[in-house]
Amino acid sequence: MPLQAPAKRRQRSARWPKILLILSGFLLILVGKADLAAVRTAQSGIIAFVMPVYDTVAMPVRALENLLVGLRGVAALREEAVLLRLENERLKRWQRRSEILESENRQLRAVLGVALPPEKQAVTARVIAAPGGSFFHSLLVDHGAGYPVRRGDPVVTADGLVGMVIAPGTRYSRVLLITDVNARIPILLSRENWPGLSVGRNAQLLKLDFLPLNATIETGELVQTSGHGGLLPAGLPVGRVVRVEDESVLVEPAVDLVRLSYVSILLGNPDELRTDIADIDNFFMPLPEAGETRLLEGFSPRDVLQ
Amino acid sequence: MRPEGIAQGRRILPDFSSQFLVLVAGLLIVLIEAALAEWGFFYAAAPMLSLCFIAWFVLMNPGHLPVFSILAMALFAEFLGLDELGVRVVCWLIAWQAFGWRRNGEQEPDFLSLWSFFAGLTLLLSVFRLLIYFIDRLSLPDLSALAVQTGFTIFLFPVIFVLLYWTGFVWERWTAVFTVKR
Repeated sequence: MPLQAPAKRRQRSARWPKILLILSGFLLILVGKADLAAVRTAQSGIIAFVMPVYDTVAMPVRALENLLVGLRGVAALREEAVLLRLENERLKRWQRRSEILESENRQLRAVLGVALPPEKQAVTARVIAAPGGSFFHSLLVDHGAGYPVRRGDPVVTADGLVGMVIAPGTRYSRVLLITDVNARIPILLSRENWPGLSVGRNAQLLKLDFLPLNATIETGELVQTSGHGGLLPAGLPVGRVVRVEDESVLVEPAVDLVRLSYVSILLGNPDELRTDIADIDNFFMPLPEAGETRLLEGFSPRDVLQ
Repeated sequence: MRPEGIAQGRRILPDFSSQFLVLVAGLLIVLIEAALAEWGFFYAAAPMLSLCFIAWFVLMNPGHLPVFSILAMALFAEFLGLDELGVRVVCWLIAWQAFGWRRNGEQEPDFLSLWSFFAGLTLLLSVFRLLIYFIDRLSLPDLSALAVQTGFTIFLFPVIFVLLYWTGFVWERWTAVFTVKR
């Protein structure tokens, strides 16, 4: 028995390095939470270093996905052609309507002297890494070198808002998706201009929070950025309301975040506002669909006329 | 199939070069894991291939994957955005410790018992990650994505196991031939 005592002591002392290692892991979590600049720089450097290798490794996966998408596409081609013809007709009608509304909107803006957000330069970026786990919804994008991408720059596609840059790098940047639990976006509901906050849940759908108690919300309603807080420009489509319950309003993102290949990063300083009316002609925002009276930046011509 | 490496002790002696090679392979596995996440099918639920890799090495060839390689793999995965900083490091260290206990505890493990142990540990780690997430944010993420990730990790374990077993076998043969020729 006395011979076993040193062995036990050795065993006990061998435990400490392991415990310390695991504790250092917990310490890393705290460092991650502190969001230190040094960590961000290290992360950006490592990503820039390994991305060429990653691109090569990801190539077969991309090829496989393209093959599967292609096979599915061939099967659905005829059906899609019919749908496209119908959509084309619908879009032509919308184009006529939008021309009328745009003209009306331009006149009303000229009358009101509306302050316009500054022009933003869009940089196209390739999505190179999608979220791999359900705890953290972010993308890695390759925008090329030489662009002044900054933290907070909005990231969009033609369909709407994707997220915002959280870790800019010289060539690769990390984008926080609107579905991430850390994403809080000031929004306006398009039909009656109710303000609120879109909150990510690390799930496919977003939740609306801080809506006024008397807000009336309908399924299918467009949700767009309000521009409050000055971080994101107003009028970017965020999604559509898909479920209205007593406690929660759920929104489906306007952008299919699962199948993202290319995105646009909007560069520029969102704090500056221009009031030059001559620039109104150049001002453009995407139009919401389905007969909504609320248009562009949360302004309703009907409200203005009243 | 019966893993024979432990019982027969036919292991290649680990040295720095083989440890380095295993580390490079581990980092490559992490890259493949990140690449799988690009596939819409695995969106936000890429299977944790690196956990299978760690399991195989700690259980079958313990000397080849030192704890610093595991740390490097976990940090690399976190930098690639597969997890938040520190979470994967803690999980993989816990897994390393658990696999070590398992290796020391049983001399003649059959594959089914290894697989069930791996499944249990993967489930526990998922719960642990969920707990960390809940403490941090007082909310829960999409549980279906987490279930898919955990399920696929458990499901793919035999595939990775066989692949690594086969690779190890070929490597052993190749190094034996190389040694004789020299």
